[in-house]
This record gives sequence, structure tokens and C-alpha cells, in this order.
Amino acid sequence: MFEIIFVLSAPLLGGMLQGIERQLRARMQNRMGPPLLQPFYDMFKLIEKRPMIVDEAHTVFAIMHFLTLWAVVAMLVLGDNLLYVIFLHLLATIFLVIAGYSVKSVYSHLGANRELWVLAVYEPVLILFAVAFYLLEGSFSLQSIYSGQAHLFALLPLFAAMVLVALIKLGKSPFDAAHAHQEIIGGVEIEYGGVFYEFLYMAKWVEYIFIYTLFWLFAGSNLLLGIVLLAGVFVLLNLIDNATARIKISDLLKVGLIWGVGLAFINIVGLLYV
Amino acid sequence: MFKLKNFRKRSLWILHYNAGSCNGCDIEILACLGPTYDLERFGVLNRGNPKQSDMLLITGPVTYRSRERVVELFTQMPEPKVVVAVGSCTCTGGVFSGMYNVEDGVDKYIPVDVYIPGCAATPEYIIDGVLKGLELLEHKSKEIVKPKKLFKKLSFHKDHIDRRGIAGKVGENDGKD
Amino acid sequence: MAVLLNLIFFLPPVLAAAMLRLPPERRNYTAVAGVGILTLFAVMLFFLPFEVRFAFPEALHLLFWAADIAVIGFFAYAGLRHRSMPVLLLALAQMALYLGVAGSAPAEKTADIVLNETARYMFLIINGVGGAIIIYALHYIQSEAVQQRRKNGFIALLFFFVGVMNMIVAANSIELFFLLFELTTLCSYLLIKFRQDAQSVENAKRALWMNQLGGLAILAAMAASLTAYETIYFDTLLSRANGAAWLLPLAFLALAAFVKAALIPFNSWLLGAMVAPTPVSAILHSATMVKIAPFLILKISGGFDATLSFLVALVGSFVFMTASLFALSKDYFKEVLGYSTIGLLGLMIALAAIADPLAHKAALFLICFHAVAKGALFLQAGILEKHYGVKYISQIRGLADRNPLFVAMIALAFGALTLPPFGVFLGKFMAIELFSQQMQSHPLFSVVLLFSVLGSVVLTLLYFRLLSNFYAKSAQSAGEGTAVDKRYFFPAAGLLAVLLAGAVLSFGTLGITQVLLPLLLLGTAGALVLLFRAKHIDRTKTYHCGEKEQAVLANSYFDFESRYMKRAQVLALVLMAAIVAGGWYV
Repeated sequence: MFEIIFVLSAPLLGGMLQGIERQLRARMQNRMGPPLLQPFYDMFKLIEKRPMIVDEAHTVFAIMHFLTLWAVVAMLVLGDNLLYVIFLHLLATIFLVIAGYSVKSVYSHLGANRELWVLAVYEPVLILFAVAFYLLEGSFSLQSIYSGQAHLFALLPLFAAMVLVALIKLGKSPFDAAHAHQEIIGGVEIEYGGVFYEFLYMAKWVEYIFIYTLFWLFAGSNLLLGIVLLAGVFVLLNLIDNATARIKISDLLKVGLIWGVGLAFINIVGLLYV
Repeated sequence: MFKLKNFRKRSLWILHYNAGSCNGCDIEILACLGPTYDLERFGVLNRGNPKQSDMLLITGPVTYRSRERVVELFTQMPEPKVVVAVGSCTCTGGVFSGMYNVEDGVDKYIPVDVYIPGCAATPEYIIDGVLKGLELLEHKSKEIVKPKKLFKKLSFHKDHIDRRGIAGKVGENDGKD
Repeated sequence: MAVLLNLIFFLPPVLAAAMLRLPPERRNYTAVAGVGILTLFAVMLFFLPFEVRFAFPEALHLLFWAADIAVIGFFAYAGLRHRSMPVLLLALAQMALYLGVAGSAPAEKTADIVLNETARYMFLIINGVGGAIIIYALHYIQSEAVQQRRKNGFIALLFFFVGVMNMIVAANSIELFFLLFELTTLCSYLLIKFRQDAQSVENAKRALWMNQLGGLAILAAMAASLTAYETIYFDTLLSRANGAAWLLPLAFLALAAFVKAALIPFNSWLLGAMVAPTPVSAILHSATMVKIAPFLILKISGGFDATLSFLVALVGSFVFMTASLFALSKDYFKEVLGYSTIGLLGLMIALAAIADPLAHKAALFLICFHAVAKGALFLQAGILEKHYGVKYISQIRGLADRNPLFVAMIALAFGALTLPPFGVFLGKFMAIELFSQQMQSHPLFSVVLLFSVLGSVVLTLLYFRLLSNFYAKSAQSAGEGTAVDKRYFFPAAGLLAVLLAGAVLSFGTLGITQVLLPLLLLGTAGALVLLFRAKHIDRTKTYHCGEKEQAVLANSYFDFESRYMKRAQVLALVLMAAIVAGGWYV
């Protein structure tokens, strides 16, 4: 029952999380920052604007991206197969990429291209993440991971790799080249306005829930460790975001493939021999 | 009472455009968005994207080369929207007033809601002006706002309005309607 | 039932003969009817509940022997005629080895033909997908500038190819397998040479000598099998080699499979086949020829020991990754498809090398759905070439304006090779699970896993970045959208329909929600694109920093330096050599 409520309110919770995050980042920079409910104020304002679209197919793919991500979170939280969830997440990303390609806009295409290039970095890490749990639990079933013991200490290198993935997926410095605001004006999201941009805005909230739930898996059934872990990751991600500057997309690929995939792979080999 | 309209003043996204400014006002605008003056506490974000913005913050005296772009960006912003002219140049042409390559202020081309004086405009003035614009936003309608020059006819289709061609080029007829 | 089997073997050659004689109009009807009957037979055989085994009469064996000599003789003649030293030398070596081996075959005989589950699946692909390609070719070939006689010959050759393929998947005798293997080599040689310009002849020669290497490897396997296990039958060989240490025959057979699959470093023959009319590429890449390779590995992997199984899987997964990377830097559409075929064949071989029923099933899934999806993609590539006159990805610009439905079909075919719930995805999904499982007993399999994961991600990247060009603004996008000819459209659309329907097959492995959810999402996307009409909503321009002129869009570029390519080829060759050497010494 709790899971179902959690899934249904995932966009809401993600919005809250973003509100807290904006506050936290402001405090780190020694300023006041927006109110906690700011993401929702933005949402209501967007709904109220005069709607504008480029064309219909372009709009549809953004809606599909949001719906698919929500379905991914549902499958993840309700305890499906971890590997399958990661592949379903790929479908959501592909919807976003197609959305980016489906208009004749330079920045939109640039964003979609970059979305695909960073996919080459984080997707292998996510798959290796699933494999690591397979080695520890004997199956990809999320049910057994949720009820199993905490594996954080066996998976420390992988944890580092996942922090890298989280930075990429949540668009945080130094790995935010895929939707760099000052550089390519948000990439794929550029051509959306008003209520239709709202879907991409909410998709980002759902993405927060997806990534943090993946971190939750490290703690297994240990509730206390889980909460400490999530809070720690939350602060860490924002600290890194505030303290670093963006690196180029080509450097992102190098760093990601060497450190992200490298650490994840070393962890897996380590699990086999220890 | 819950009204969607109330949220206009709680969330403001900005499009900042430099129409030939010396960068003085631009630096002050960025200072406003930074930690010292912290405009974000009012929900203000710099989006750099006309389609998601509510306010056009414009600096510079509008040079000959930039006027088409100003109008184009203005027409790409969805209503309700406000325009804030930052700095003396943008209001009247300032020190460049009367020069051959300058248009003496942005209000010849697009309707301006708030004028912020100063060379360069100080952050305090800018914050004041932005918040003034925020109040005005509440009284704006959702009708399409037309630029004063370089405006071509709106094209009405069966069930929608096509805004693609409404910003004209220099030298074309202004089909004001 | 043996009658039905014989029909599926011998009907295609009969149809081929008919193609040569009939006038065009009646030729087409006969071909379509023939494809229908063959597919029907394949379906009937698929639902056959028991295994069929039988031996051919002695007279037919003599005929096979004569055919073998004739084919090798023809190769020698081709080598002389085109002054190709490798072709001639290999033909002579094959002749010598064949005469030696055929002379010393033991008297003991078992079944020549065994119809098992794998063969049933293969029948479906060969006749179904191959049939769709033949129907497509009927119209396609008419636009080639050659005599009618040669056009008919082309169709006849395709039918003959299908017949040979039907027999090769049921062959149990290595001698028969060798003959059919050589016949497929011959078919591909003639098909690639079809246009007869200098480039075609050059590439056909290359395809010929590389595949002759494969034939030679089979003969070597046969010789090794005779010396150590005194048999030339697959099933006897497997039962005798099981648990034995000396696996040279199997190593040689694996080598033959590598050549046939055009795995790096033998990739150039399959890519060279692009010069031929597109149905040739379509049939080589999907239903026939290269599919012999994973099939052969599936057939013999029961006899592999752990080391051999690992080495073959390593070669397969290494090729999967490198071929996908090579493809990233290519611009010629068919070449991109070609490299991705090679990569996926590598994955199939890696899966097939694991002797495990689940791996067997996963490999079969991959073989089937890859055949359908790649077949569809090549047919679409043919439409691009014939109807729109574009060969290079950079020329495709603006196609989405002219024919959005066609672009959606291409995108769907890309999706079928990468996304849930389609068959190829399921193959990859099972592959990752299987490699993880293998890792626990054999830690080196972690390298295989890493290569497959990277390969599959690169492949996704590869396909979808192509979509950029379909939407990019074109320099001459003025061309009006004309409907694609029905005779091109239907075979391609039919294969896509099979893909969607095929998702149902994954029910056993995936849960109901797992299959239905992505289908539902894809269906919603399709329905919304078709039905969603935004009324009373303004249309606006795309953002170009306030500029009025649209910038020309371009894809992202990726350059794979040729020295890395050389190193990868050398490495793959060393791994293959290690397999043979390992088989020899252990």
C-alpha cells in the first residue's frame, strides 16, 4: 500500500525534493534562496501561460517521456526486475532523444546528440550496477534486494560510480554538458513552452525519484542506513554541483568511461574473487 | 483562495538580451542573480530561452543590427509577458542618442513596461524594476502583444494562430493591424 | 513427415528452375505462391512434435560427391578467369583435402538429416524472411539495367539459396554440411558479382576466397574428426567428444563459423556485398548466409569444454563491441547496418557458445528477431536508394518532412533492435543474465560481460543518432512527398508487423506487465502522434537566437582512428588462433 502511494505521488515528492535542493544550494552559497514550494509555483505559472507549440509530434514525445519515466519508477518501487527497469529507463531516454530530434532546431538536436553520448557513459554503469546485485543476491529481483541485507560496504567503488551517474542524470556540474543551460540552453527542452514544458519539468522530478531509489538499494532492508545514505548523497551531489565548473562533453565521456565504468567493473571483478 | 493567476508573481523566469550594450548593465544584472543580491529568493531564474520566460530584460541602445532580433525574441515569448528596459541607453539611447547606428531606445520597437535608469543601472534599481514588472504581470492579459515595428500580419488558421512569421524583416512593409 | 522435409529442401530449386523459364508476369505470381507454400511448410514443420531423422539413398550421396567436385572445380576456374591467386590456391587446397577426406570416410552411417528444434526455428526465418525479401526483389530487380534473362536468373538464385539454407540447417553429416556451405559461398559469389562492374567483381572475389577459408576449416575439422573420433556426423562427433580433451574438430568448425559470420578481421567480405542490388544485402544479412555461423556454434557448443566455450564467447563479445564502434564512424547507410550485423552476430556467437538451454533459447531469439529487423531495415535501405536516391546518411536530410510514416518505420526497426519488449532486446537481456551466471563459476566471463554491455550501449547510440539526419533541414528538401511503391512497401511493413507480433513470444521469459507495458507506451506514442491535434494553440518558430534564417543541422561526428581498427583486427585474429592452438595442444 505504501509503495503504491509512493509511486502515485512520485512527481510530487520529486518536486518537494527539488524545492529542498534549491534551498540547500542557496544556503551553501550563503543566500536566502527561493521558498520550499518554488517548483510548484513554477508549475502553476507554466500551466497558466498562453500555450505555444512547434508541432504536435514534438509535444507528444515529451509527454511520453514523462509517462514512461513514471512507469519506470513504478516498476522500480513495486519490485520488478532491476535489469528490466534499467532497460525500460532506456526507452524513456529514447523518447526524449526522439523529441529532441523531431524539430528543426539546432540546440534541440545538439541536446539530443549529447543525451545519446552521455547514455554511452551511464548506461553501462547502470547495467553493471544490476549485475553486482545479481552476484550478491542471486537474482535481479528487486523484492529480494529490498528485503536483503545492506551491501553498501561490498559495493563502495560502484557507489562512487553511481554518484557520477547521478551527477550526469540529474544535470549537475561538472557533468551537466547534456543539458547545459548557458551553453546549449537546456538542449532538448528548449522548444517547449507553457503547459507542455511542464511535462519535461515534471519528468526531471521523477528522474530525481528514480536516481535516489537506486541509491536506496545499497541499503537493502536497513531503514536507518538508507535514510542516512540518501541524505548523505543528497548533500554530496549538491556540494559537488556548487563546487565545480562544467567540463566539456568529450572530457565527460573520457572521465565517465574510465572512472565510472572502470570502478563499476573493478567492483564486479572484486565480488567474484572475494 | 487558490487562483492560478496568483502564481504569476511568485515565479518569474527571465530572458536577458543585450541589444548592443557596453556590458555594464549586464554585469549588474548578473550580480543581481548571484549570491549577493539573490533575486532567486523571489523565484526569479535566468532561463535564456524566450519560450519559457515571462520577462524580457533588455540592455543596450538597440543597434541597427540587433533590432530584428529584439522583435523576433519578443514575439517568441508567450503571453502574459513584461519588458523591462535596463539602463539609460535602453530607455532613451543614453550617450549614444542620435547616432547613425543606434535606434534611441527599445520602446520604438516593442512596448516597454518598466524603465530602469542609470549608467550602469545599479543592482538595487534593477531589483526594484524587476519586482515592479512582477506586479504588472498580474494585470496582463493573455492576448497576443504586437511589436510596434517590424510586425507582419497574424495568420489565422482553422483552429490555431500561426506566430511563425509575425516578426518581419527590416525593409518589409509593416502590416499593422 | 520426411516427405514434407524433402519438399522444403527440393521445392526451392524447382521454383528456381521455373523462374528461369517463365515470362515476367507469370514468374511473379509463381514466386509469390511459392513463397507462400514454403512459409506454410515451415510453419507446419515448426509445430511438429517430434524429431525427424533419415538418411539419403546411396545414389544421392554420389550426386553430392560429384557436386562437391564440381563446385570446387568452378572455384578453381573462377580463380583462373579472374586471375585471383588466393581463390585458385584455396580451391586447389580444398580439392586435395576433400579427395583425401572423402576417400577415408568410415563405412558406418547414421542419419544425414536431423530435424530438431533449432532447425525448426531456422526454417521459419529462412522461408518467412527470405520469402519476403524475394517478393521485394521481384519488383526491385526490374529496375536494374540488365537483360530479362539475367533478372530471372537473379530471382532463381535467391530461391536456390533458400533451398540450400533449408538443407544446411538440417544437415547432420559434416560432408553434406561442407557441400552446402560451399554452395552458399557460390550463391553469394554470384549474387555479389551480379552487376559485373569492376568493383562488384573485386568484392565478389574477396567474398569467395574468405568463405573458401571457411570451407577449408570445415574440411580440416572433418579430417581431425576422422583421425580422432572416426566419424563425419555431427551427433556422433559430439557424443564422442563430450568430456574428451582433444577438441580440434570443434575448434576448426568454430573457425569456419567466424569466417561465415564475417567477424572482424573477416568483415570485409560482408561489407563488400553492399555493391550488389539491395535484396542481396538483405538476404545475406538476415535470413541466410551469415546466420549459418551462430547456428553452427549452437550445433556444436554441446561438445565445448569450459575453456573453449569461454574463448569463443570472448571472440564473439569482442567483435560485438568493436564492430559497433567501427560503425559509429561510418556514413554509408548500408555499411552502418553491415557493421551492426557483424556486431550482433558476435553477440549471438558468444551466447551460442554457452552450453545451457537458456543460452540456447536466447541465441535463437536473437537469430530470429535480428533476421526480421535487419531484413526490414535493408528493405528500407533499398527504398531509400531506389525511391529517394540516397545512399549516405548525410544525404537523408529532411526525409521526415517528405514521408513521416517511412521514417517512423525506420525508427521502429531501430527500436526493435534495442528496446523492450522486442525480441532482440530480450536476447540481450538474457545474455546479460547468462554471462553474470557464468561469471560466478568462471570469473573471466566478466570480460565477456563488459564487452557485451558496452557493445549493446554503443549500438543503441549508433542507431538513434542516425535519426537526427531524417529531421535535419536539407539543402534541397523541396522534393514533394510521393508514396512509396506498394510492392516495396508491403514486404517491409510485413516484417515490422511480424516484429510487433513477435513480442508476444517473450511472454514465457518476461512477465505479462513487462511485455505489455512498453507495448502500451509505444502504442500510446503512436496513437497520440496520429490523433493528437492541438486546437487553439499557437504555432511558433524554433529558437535560433533571434536569427531569422535556420541553421543547417548536422549529426555529431565520431572518428575511429584506423590504427585502432588494425589493432582490433590483429587482436581478434590472435584470439581465433588461440582457439585453434588450444584445440591442438590440450
